[in-house]
Amino acid sequence: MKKTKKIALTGVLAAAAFAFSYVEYLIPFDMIGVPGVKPGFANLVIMAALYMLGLPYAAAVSAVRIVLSFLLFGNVTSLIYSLAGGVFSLAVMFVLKKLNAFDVTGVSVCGAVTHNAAQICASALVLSSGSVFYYLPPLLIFAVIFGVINGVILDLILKRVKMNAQGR
Amino acid sequence: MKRSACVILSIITVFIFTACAKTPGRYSITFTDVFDTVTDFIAYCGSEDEFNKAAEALHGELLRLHRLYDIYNEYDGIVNLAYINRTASAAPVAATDEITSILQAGKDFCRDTGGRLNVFAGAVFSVWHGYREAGTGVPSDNELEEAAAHVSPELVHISGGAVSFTDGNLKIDVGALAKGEASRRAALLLGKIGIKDYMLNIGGNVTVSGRKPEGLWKVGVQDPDGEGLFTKVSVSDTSVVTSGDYQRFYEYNGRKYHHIIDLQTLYPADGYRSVTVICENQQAADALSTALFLMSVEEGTELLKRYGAEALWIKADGQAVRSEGFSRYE
Amino acid sequence: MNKTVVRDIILVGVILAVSLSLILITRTNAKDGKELVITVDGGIYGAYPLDKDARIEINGAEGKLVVMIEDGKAYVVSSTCAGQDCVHSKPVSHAGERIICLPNRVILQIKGDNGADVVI
Repeated sequence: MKKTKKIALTGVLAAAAFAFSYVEYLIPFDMIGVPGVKPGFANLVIMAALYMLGLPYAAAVSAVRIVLSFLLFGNVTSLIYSLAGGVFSLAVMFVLKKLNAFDVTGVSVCGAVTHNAAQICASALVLSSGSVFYYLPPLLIFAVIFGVINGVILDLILKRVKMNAQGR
Repeated sequence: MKRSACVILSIITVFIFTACAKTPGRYSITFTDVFDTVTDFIAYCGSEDEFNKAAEALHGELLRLHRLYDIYNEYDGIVNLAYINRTASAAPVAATDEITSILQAGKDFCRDTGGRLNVFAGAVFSVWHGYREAGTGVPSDNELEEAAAHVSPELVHISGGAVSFTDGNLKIDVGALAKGEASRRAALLLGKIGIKDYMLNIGGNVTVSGRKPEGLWKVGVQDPDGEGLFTKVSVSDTSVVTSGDYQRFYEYNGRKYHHIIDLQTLYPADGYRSVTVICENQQAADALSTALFLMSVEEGTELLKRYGAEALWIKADGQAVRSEGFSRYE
Repeated sequence: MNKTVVRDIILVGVILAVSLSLILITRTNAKDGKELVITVDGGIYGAYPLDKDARIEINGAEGKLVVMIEDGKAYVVSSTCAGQDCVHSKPVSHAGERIICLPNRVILQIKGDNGADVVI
């Protein structure tokens, strides 16, 4: 892929990641009873960038999403949470992808789990209270569920995109 | 491309460190000197300094409004409701917008609720207030009926920023509106100084703005029998107010007498244990929670529709009734 | 089946198993852990576990309060304040519940996790 095309695609993916963040902000999943549960479709987009374009582009998509969310509907505390989640999950996904240890779904699950764990650690620091770790196990269960869903979706997307690219 | 990745990562790192240096987080403070109740303020702020400044400004505003709406004490240099109650039958009293607007709202709510929510019935409320403070008896029917002859909103005139009464025994008591109005003005103030994500609870009048990093604000509604939480609502940018028979009461001869007086019977209303209202307008939420306590569920439902509000009634027998959209918050 | 796919399934299984067992452990080991937090004029006066009976004397803004913790409930036995609202208040035992003595600027509040930011 040409570099200009890559950059253009990065922009599209960043917009998509931000749009998903915004939708998830508008439709909170609080009713489930565990605070902070999210499907994490933005992470799906970042993973797509990681697999299709590579780490620098994925980091750019993630950074744009985090900064835009902060400016448009976040606060400093939520910025810290999303930075922690974003940086650590991307790092873990990158390493696991490099090691070729898991399939797309496994990487997605690990990304989601890391995202939640990092956010809980951040909130423990912000609130200077360890009691938030109480929420981690139920959060992880949802992380696994949504991680699998996102992984399967991404797997399908990657296959289609590849077919498409070969078809040209 | 490697270089740009490094740049992005270092920007993020710098972001984290500058953010941490300012110790953003959840801060809270409690006031005990306004509106004869406890006030909690929780906010997510960029720094402790920012929070302290906001809390100080908020406290000043609440104290100012508390004094204006105080009906028991007068303060030097302030025309407040206690002063108006004492002197407005003799001559018109020039009052500030905070007072004339709440009295106008009082007239509107009185009309909208068919006289059930009446802030001009202070004569009746003060009889009960006296007995509640003493805790040693119940007012006689005579005493109550005598007071109830001086409660008509028509006896209060507001014109050109001046208030006058045409009845020397009439008393204003904005107890059902003051905390809601204070919440509304406090929200305006906090918005102006840039506090976006906060929760303010003035004695059961909860205003929430924005949200917590982990999601919506959670307001627990007490079980009237003291068995923990009855339910929990998840909200953002709205207000939640509960009026309950357990909030202010006294016991005499084994019977409980609470603070929400039904002007039709002149006795504490006995239809519900508590009524919780969710409404974006803080003042309406406060007024509705008391008004609904004083009317049937059917009448209350009509009133809710007019204000775009939702409610949870817990009846005297413990049965819970929810308005159409209430469970969407649970 | 692809080797990485097998690893994926194992991974999901392991995380689910660990999370579920952590939930079970925290649920069964969850002692109430509730405490009575007393503040005077905004400052913390003390925190007392609810599962231990105690008699606490508090020097408030205007006078003295005596608080008892008994059978997991806290209540005010006596107060020097005029209104005596605090003495007449029902005993508190659930997270978020409060007894207030405004004249003495004393707040007794039960701390514990009920998932609510405020209880009204």
